[in-house]
Amino acid sequence: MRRNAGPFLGIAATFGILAASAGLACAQDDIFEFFENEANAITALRRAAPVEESPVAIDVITAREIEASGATNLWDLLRFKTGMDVADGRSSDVQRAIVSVRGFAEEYVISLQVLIDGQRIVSPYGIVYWSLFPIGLHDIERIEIVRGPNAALYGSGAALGVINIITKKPRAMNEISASAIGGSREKMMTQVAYETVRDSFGWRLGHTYAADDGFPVGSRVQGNDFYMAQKSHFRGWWDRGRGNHLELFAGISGHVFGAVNSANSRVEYPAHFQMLKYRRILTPAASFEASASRADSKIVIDPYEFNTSETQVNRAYRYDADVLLHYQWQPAPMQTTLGGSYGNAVTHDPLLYGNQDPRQSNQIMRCFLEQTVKPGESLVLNGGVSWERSDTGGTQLAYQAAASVRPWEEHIFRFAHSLAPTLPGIQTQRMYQEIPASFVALSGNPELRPVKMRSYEAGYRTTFLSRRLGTEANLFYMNINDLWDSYIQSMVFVPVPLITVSFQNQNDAVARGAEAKLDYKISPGAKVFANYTFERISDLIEDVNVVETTPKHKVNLGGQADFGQGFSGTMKAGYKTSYLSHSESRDMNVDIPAYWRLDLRLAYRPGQGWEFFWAGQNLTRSRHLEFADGLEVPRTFYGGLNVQF
Amino acid sequence: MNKPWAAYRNSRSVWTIVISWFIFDVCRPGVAGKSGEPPSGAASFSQDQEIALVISGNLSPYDQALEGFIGSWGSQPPVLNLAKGELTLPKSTKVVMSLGSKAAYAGYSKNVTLVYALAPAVWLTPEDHAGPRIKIFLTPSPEILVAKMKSLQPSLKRMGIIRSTWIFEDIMDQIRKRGRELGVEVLSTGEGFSVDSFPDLLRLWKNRVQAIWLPPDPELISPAAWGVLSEFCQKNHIGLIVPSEALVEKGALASIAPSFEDAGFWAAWAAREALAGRHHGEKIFPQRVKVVINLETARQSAIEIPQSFIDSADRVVR
Repeated sequence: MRRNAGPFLGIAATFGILAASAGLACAQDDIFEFFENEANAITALRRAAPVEESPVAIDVITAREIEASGATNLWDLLRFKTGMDVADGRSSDVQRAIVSVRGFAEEYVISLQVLIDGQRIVSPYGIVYWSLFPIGLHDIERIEIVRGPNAALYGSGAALGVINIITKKPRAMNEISASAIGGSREKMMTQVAYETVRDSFGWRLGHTYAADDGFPVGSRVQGNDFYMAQKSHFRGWWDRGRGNHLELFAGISGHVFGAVNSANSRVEYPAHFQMLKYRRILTPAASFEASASRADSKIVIDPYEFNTSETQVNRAYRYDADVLLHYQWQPAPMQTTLGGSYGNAVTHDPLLYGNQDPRQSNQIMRCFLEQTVKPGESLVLNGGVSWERSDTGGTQLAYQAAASVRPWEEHIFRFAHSLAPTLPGIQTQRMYQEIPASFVALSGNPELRPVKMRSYEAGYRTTFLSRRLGTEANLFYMNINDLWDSYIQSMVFVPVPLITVSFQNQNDAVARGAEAKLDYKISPGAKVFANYTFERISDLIEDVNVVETTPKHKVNLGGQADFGQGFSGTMKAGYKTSYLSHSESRDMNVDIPAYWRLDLRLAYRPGQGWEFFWAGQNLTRSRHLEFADGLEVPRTFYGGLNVQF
Repeated sequence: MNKPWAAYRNSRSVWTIVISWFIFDVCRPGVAGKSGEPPSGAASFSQDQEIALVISGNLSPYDQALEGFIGSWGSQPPVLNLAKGELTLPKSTKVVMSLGSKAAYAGYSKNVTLVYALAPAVWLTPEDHAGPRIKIFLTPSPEILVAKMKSLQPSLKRMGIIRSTWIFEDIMDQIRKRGRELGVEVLSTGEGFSVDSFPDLLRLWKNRVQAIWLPPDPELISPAAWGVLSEFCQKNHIGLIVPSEALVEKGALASIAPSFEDAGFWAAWAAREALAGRHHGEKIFPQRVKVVINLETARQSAIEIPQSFIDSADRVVR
């Protein structure tokens, strides 16, 4: 492995600058002491403290962090967070990033639930396509990363974790914001949004245009990588008074990609979604929420890999309806959440299902109960149970039990145990597709059972130095049963040779890990962070695609600082040890050497509402591999302007 | 394959939870009102004592509020200081006045009416206290605040409010409404705003607002944040209106707020009304608002304050 001192020097220098900009604590008198005591007491005592009393480990990314990060893709925001596995990569269709939590960083991660304002955006195939989200980065108010199984609350598919993306709710009376970015590899992005609020209603409309020249193609693959997207997002609310609140969310997007399997292939992906959410406060102790949503998308592949002369058009859509009831028991310190949902996920694919109906669906019904009890000032107990019935997974039970103990102020211990299933996708049960000129057919297995993940974890959080220094440590142990794997179902030689490959539940695995993180707020506008993740996976059949695809050690560090005179900077660096990358769509395995990744952003604000910035990504090397797609992640530079008035 | 249940059963972590909870929650001195136990002699209560004061610690704002309470009540009821571990109340207690967040959250019997003051970022729910709850605000009523700010700066067209918690949401709506009536547009930060974002916010508001109101938000009032905010306002001719007289002495343009003493005074009034069986809602804004102006800051900020407003101020720092 090539030794490279550059990243270390850069990181050390940046930390030095950040530390030098720190203000020292000054003497406090009674008025500041009073407010500081109040702030500390509230943090320690208040009931609605989602991060501290959460039964699972949570990280939050704020709008300010998003703006200061220099990220141009959603997954860049997640990359340097504790426990995250993020890699840039291209599958043979529209997937452009591998994102996972606590290991199992596969091309098509199916055990990570992703929600935008509570709406599920996992495709009917059970896969999250990160590049296709119908929102721009400027539309996001907050991202919550929940690490560990949370199926009792969110349903199947949340075995590794949940990522909640919350969009900006309009707050300003009249505000226009815009940004423009240009950079290397013909990167271009413009974002514009307008929001307005009146007494009883408000709305916000945002639009994003993004394009780039993609990643350089290496020697191992054909391809022509490029990307172009148009996205519009709307969020509006209407407050009808007396506790009635109505919200409408809608979006429409169009994407065009280059596909790496053929020099001339391109993929078009038009999509749109709508969601209506109604919330009513029934009594001071009870509230009710109901939502209905619809998401529809098409994938147009021209020409299609498996049908080289024709354009392939696939359609996937889903309808979801959810109801929630929150109740705070009086006088007992208990809170109950009761919920139910119905969803119908449909795929229409002319070639995927052989002679069967090209329209295949999966209906899912679910109800769940979550109970939080506070038997004492220092103990919070949380339990949840979910019952789910689906076409592909039958009846499934999920549960979660957790305890949060605070023996001393600012010291919180957390223990959790949960069971979470992941349903087979429609295609893994029902597909039948003969691959031209290969004598191979892929066949689904209707008997495929859900993967079940049992998790045990313990965590500890504390703060020091008047809450300026925060630390957290977690240990987790996950037992995964009934992992799917492909196997040769049959081989025939007449009338034509044909090998049929199918899927079966044939593997069990154990994942162990430790996470540690540290945040230090030096002064207003300046802070540094560091986190470390260790993960080790073993399995029953020693499948390298299971046990070697997760880097054992990951370290991230960075910080942001306000240098005065309108100048500010953000630095983030991440290190991963070597791992094996497996591409399902290309059937390739590639050893990825350990690498550092360094992202930097410098900004200057000459006046109100204006900001010029310059950013660089992957600054440690000109190119490096992150995924087994034959493409290399290049060093990129870009700059731009943000305006708000 | 390992059987995690076996490890879990044998783990000491479960016992750690139980023992920790037992030691720190069960064995520590309890709140008699909560547990129903008789008082154990921490303070000099008589058995028919109907009111008690519980304070979070030893700070001068609590002393000032106590003075206001005694001034209104006429005598000094027993005072329990949480910093000294005094937590027991007699069964006869009908009203508790708490000062500070710790005291507000201490946990009392549902038969007790809790009047809580000097806990500016606390809003108790039935889960926190099942009995009647009355919050004494450290802010003036929104109508008075906006009117006073407009009188202080007659050219005021746009004001900003910096807050980090939803507690002030209700007040915000009323400030916006009153602002519209007086031709003042109100800008505000949202829930979750932190001092980390001060530099960006202030750049955004530079030349855009003529005044900033800083509510008594504990998350935002610290020495470091104060330095940034007060310096920015002075340099950019922005009137900084604060919730405490002490902050005016540190360079704010003015405070328009009830004093800590007033908060104690109105807490005593609410307690007396509660004992008499009269309830006036869960929110009480002290009717008396103390206005303190710093003329040195006004001069440095080049803000002209009408003489009539100076004359009517309760105190002028020169």
